[in-house]
Amino acid sequence: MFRYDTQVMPPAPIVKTQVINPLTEETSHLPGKLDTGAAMTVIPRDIVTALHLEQMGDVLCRDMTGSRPQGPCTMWRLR
Amino acid sequence: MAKTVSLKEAQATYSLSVDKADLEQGPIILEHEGEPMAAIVSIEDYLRLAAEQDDDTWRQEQLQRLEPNRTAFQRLLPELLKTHKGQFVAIHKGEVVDADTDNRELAKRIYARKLFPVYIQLVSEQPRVIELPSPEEVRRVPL
Repeated sequence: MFRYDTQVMPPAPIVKTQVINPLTEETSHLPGKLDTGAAMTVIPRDIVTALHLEQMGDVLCRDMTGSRPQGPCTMWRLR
Repeated sequence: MAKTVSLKEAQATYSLSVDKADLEQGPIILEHEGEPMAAIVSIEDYLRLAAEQDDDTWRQEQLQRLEPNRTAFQRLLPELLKTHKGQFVAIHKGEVVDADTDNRELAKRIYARKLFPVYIQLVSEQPRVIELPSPEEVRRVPL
């Protein structure tokens, strides 16, 4: 059973995660919100910067408003 | 609903009474000779706007680093559609250095070979679009 965090609205299942730079093994610990319907995994940009994660591509996203902001993609190990 | 305050003379000194309730109704627009020239917004709105601008600047900086290899991908795309359609390709120094149907496996190999900067993208006629059908607002709530 996952712990639910009632500090977010609506409450969500949260797990402790480690985000790891595969090249340098630099690691950040942060709570991860589980969403089985999520189309992708996102991490805070502070983590991208702190772990020196390399940008490897970009992605277009379309939300309910139809907008398509372009965002950078990177790769990390999640534990 | 925005409230408008007209400034009659550019050099004049004005005193404007503003309280939080005013700003909860919307921004206060300052105009001179009929032209809007500034806006007073609540601190919450200002911080949100500043954060959005900061995020946008960061995103553009990150995308800029990809640009040379991204441009190369666009240039190579017509030929790649004949040879690598449906695969992810890795572009490094303007050339395809690896390809795979699994972008994770491809990225792992790129990391192992330390081929940076790199641009990995799916070879397809239409750009890949991630659908985000159910956005939700997450906010801190007091207990």
